[in-house]
Amino acid sequence: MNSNYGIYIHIPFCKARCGYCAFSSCCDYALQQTYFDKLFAEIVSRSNRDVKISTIYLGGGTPSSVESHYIDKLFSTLSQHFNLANVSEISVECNPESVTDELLVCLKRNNVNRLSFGLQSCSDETLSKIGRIHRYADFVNALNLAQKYGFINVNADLIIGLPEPLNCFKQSVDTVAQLPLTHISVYALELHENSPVYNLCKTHYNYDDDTLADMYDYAVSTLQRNGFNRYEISNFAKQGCECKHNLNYWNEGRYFAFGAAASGFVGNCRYTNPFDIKDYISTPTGALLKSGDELTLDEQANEYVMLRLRLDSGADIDEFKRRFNADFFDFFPNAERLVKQGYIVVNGSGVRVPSDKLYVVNAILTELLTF
Amino acid sequence: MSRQKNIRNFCIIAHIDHGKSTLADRLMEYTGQVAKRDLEAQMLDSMDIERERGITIKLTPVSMTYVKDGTEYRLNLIDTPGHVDFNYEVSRSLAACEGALLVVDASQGVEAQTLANCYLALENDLEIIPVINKIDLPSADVDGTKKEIEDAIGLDASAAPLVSAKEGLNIKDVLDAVVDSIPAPNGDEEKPLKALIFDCQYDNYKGVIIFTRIVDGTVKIGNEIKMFETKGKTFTVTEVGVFAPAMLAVDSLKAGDVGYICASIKTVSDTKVGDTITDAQNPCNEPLKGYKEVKPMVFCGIFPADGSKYNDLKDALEKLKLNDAALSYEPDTSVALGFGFRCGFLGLLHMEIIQERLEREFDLDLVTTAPSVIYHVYTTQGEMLEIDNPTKLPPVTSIEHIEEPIVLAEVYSPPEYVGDVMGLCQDKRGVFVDMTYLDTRRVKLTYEIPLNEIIYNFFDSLKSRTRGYASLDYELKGFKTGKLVRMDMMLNGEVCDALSIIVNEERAYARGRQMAEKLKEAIPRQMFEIPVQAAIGSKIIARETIKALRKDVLAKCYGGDISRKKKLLEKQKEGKKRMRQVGSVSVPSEAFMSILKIDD
Repeated sequence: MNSNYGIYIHIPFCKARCGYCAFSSCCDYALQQTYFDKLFAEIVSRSNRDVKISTIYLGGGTPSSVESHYIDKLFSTLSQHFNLANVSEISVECNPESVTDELLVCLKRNNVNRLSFGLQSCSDETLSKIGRIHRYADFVNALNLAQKYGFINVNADLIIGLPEPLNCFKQSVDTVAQLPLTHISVYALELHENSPVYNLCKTHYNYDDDTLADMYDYAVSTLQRNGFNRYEISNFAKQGCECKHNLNYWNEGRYFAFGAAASGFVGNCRYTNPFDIKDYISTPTGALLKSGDELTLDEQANEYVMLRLRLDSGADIDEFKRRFNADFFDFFPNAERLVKQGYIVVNGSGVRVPSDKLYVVNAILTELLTF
Repeated sequence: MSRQKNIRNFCIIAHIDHGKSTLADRLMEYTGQVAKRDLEAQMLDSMDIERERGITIKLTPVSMTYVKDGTEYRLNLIDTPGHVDFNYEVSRSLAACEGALLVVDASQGVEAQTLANCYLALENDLEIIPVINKIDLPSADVDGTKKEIEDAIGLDASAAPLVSAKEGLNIKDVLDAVVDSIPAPNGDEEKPLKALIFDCQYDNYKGVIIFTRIVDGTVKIGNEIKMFETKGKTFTVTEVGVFAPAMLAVDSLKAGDVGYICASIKTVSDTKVGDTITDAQNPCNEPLKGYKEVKPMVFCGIFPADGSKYNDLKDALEKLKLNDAALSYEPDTSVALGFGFRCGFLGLLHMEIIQERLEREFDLDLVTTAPSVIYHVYTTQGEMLEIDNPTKLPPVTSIEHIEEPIVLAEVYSPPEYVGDVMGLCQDKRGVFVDMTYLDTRRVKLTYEIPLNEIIYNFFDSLKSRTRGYASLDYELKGFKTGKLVRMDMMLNGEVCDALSIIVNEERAYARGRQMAEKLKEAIPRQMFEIPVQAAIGSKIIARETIKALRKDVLAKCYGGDISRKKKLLEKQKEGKKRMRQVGSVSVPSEAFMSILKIDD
């Protein structure tokens, strides 16, 4: 088991809410002060200098949109209460339009070494349709600025299934594949009924699963051709630039999580904070600490497989035996059949989903897992 | 004898919509049986489904008190259903009565079904009183209707009460006619008990409640009774009563009375509608003439959507069967659907009603298979087999020929849709018999049509082609040899028994294609490609393909929320568990139902 800890911080503020967003976000910047006070209190309450922190991730919302002094205070609070001596990766999610000299200077002085841009599409028309406030040129400017300040490890997010013509998506993939990026994430759009984008998609761009799978396949082959290897279903990286923080999730590493809707995994307990920013603020810090579910060994064994099979590297039978004191094929009665059917492949002690079936891993997991 | 002189037992015969239930309500209101405010539009239709659909299915008795010329009379009305499917119920009411009111809509005249029931009543030696209803309508043609009654049925309609049940007009005339024209019962109170069971209900506290007409003798609390058909068992009467219209306990029921008997009968099968009740110590010599056993015409498999509810379904069917002798069922198993029942119905409406009652009154989720009719299968061995379940059809090589039931169907339609109706009837292998213009607004088309075409979507197509204006009546005419084959549906190469149907060979291709298309829509994509094939024997006649699943990974697992991911997987797994397994293919219950609704 991975003994390093990650830290996830959720910063829910956004200048505008995107037309597809279902995450915990908030456009009322007047709440900044109260929110950060609460966030700092939560960090203090979980204070732990015994474990070594290896990664920190600021997600949102739009972390890049809050005032710099909050970021400074955030990192100083973290360093007071956690052992950050071994931190090797600090990522911050940025929206292109919010990237300024001031921001980058601030991030730099706090040792941030990885930026993740919510690009979503290279088409300005698409961006405006889905309620993003940046344009492609903003992204290019932000990327150039980031390079000027020495940010080399940079990710861009793309979304499959936006309300745009098929070739628009392909063009976005072609474009980002050529940019000086180290990491690209490609997520499928999750449509929530009655969101503005849902209606747009249903009426004009109602892509069926085959087309969406084609888009995914296009992204996989294009990105791989350009040196971005798929190491997880939705994540592609240049050699050695895999996101350590995210890998820690899939390797069931432990992580603290702070802020609204944030999910942590401490000891054998998974917890998720209140989704709504106001609920989060009003929940007593002590109560936040007490929430969560302790995982049984069976659950851990299932999670191990559920998470590892998302990775290109897969799971390991020997490790499974060592950690859960059980034979993989005894523990999962359907495993043998799935191997025979070619849905999972065994190579030495390694077990993985073949790359052409990675996009249906849920169907495979539903048959395999025992929970 | 003098007591019986003041009793009249009668029923009402009418075509659907001719106002039978409304008239019954008026009679009750007039005799003070029900206050106007309690009249929940048509009292006698006690089931929700009956009220919603505006039809009567179950017969419900009611007792009224009416004073004429200073004498008090007890009038027992036994309601009858109007729909063709429930013909059998009608004969049950008739056997408990001495007379019948024949209600005819003055604006529509005598209809086929009315005639059929009227003949039934005449066969039962009932006194028939024509009542002309809806005289308030501008289109009412009283003289024409009278003439039609005289010509078509041969009844004297000169003194027929002219009423408007809706407006409450001349209701007294009807009550007077009942008293004056319908004979009083003439049973013998001193003879041993002889009573007809014309209906039953089950009550959780009282057990079986027998609806009865006492022909001879007397019955009261404490009497030992027994039934002719369920020999040996005796029961002690715990309660007797009349319908006023709610059940009202009385001291005794005597010859000529209509009422109910409770005798702590807990087993539903101990009482059979049509059977005769007699005194256990002092029995009568022979039973009353029972009812003709009805033959179900339409069959389908009914399975619980949740396999563990098999016993609940069994109990529910048993209770429905108690007062619906026409319902038949026997245990059935399907590879795809598990344990369930093969059920027989009088017709499509009856089938729908039963399914609806099972779901509503017993809160069951059902999976039903495609309806089938009964086929006469002649084997090469010279035997005749009656087959209602496609999976029971012998191999083709041992079939000499198959006969299918043919009905005489009467479609009433406005003239502008005649072309559409004829087109539909021809599509459904109908043979034209007759076309009559009843008046300027209505045409009656008569066709001979195989029943298996009628039960397959005919009614829905008829309604959609005539914008809901046409109506349909049919009765069994006989059996005819047909080119019939069993068509199987195969999923990934395996036959799914619950989807097999018997179909006319020429129509099999279209049906097979439609069913394959429906199944393709209803079965979710799985990890492998699934051929959906329709086959006659080993010959594939239609094919669709459910492509292999290519995408199921949802969006970003945000901020490491693994629990949410796990919950989604659990939900997916639950959904899969609820599906039926046909070989390697997971089939949702909806898929079995989807093939029942196909638009032509």
